[in-house]
Amino acid sequence: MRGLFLAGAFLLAAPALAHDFQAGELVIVHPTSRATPGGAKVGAGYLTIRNTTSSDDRLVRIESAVADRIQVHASTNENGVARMREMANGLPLPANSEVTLKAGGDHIMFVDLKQPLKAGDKIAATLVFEHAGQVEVTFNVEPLGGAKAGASEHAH
Amino acid sequence: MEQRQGRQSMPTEMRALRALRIGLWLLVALAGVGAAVLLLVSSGNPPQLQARAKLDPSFEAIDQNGRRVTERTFQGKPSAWFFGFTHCPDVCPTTLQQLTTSLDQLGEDAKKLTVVFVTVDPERDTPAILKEYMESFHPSIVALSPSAKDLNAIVKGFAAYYAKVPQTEGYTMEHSSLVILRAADGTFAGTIDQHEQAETARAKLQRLGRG
Repeated sequence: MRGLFLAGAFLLAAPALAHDFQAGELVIVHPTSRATPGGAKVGAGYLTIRNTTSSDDRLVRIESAVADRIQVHASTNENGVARMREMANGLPLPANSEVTLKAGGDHIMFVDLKQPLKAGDKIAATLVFEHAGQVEVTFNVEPLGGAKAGASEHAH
Repeated sequence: MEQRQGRQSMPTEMRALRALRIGLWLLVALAGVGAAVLLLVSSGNPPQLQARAKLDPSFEAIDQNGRRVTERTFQGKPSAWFFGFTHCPDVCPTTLQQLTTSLDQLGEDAKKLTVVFVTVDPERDTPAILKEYMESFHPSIVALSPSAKDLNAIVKGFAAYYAKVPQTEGYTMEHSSLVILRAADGTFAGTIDQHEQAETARAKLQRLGRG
């Protein structure tokens, strides 16, 4: 039974090529980034953090050699205006909830990249939580047009 | 006689009172409608463009190939305008990538319109920076680096919006995220929102190009 269940879970997860990490009881689901346009000094990071515990936590810091600074940005794109604000106190992770950073919404910003991000790269980073400690993760760099649009990307 | 007049005058007064009551209720209703209209008009959104509004600011700018362009460069051909900046991690590359995919799929129809990317951060986005950046997107997209004065003229002319926002270190930009469509005669021809389906966006560009 257990084997069957695991096989089922694998099949469900496989199409998205998800990769998960764990910090204490927090689950960090599928951290990704996107190839950067030529010369771009900034990049974006996306992930989901699942807090199934009954206490609040907080992502206080992200460290990586890939950029000078890494911030979490609250971002809105409403009424035809894109606005961005640094979450200076980190990303709140309320008890029993799931927080998703994704394209078009709140996201991680790699500021002053040391090198361009290319599709297929894996960015090593450390996520530091207020209570759950820290965990090493990798952000998979997807094509500029997203995982699905990879085939149509321009190669110059 | 007096009594009859009295009897007759009662209903007259009642009619008058009823008319007054109806009139007052009508006023209340009117006030309500007026308040609703005011709420709709003053909801704090950026300026909305009227159909057939003319989008034709005078300006000059340098494109990513170092060429000087003016408003005349883009007159007489349909165009799609997007305002952004290269220190933009998410919305700008996504929109430029979506425009690139649409132009790829339009094939020959792509030649019937000009897609223009205007940086709202010319302080950092020099023509040379834009050149390198735009090499990741469709080669037909024209990227403009205007002076601050010309940028304000373009933004005003397209009823677009941008603002510089200080951060703990450096700054970021708020900006219009809509792609603004302009017909060959210079009139407003709609927008593309980033939340729209790719097919919708492509169809709008195709329709714009075919005029």
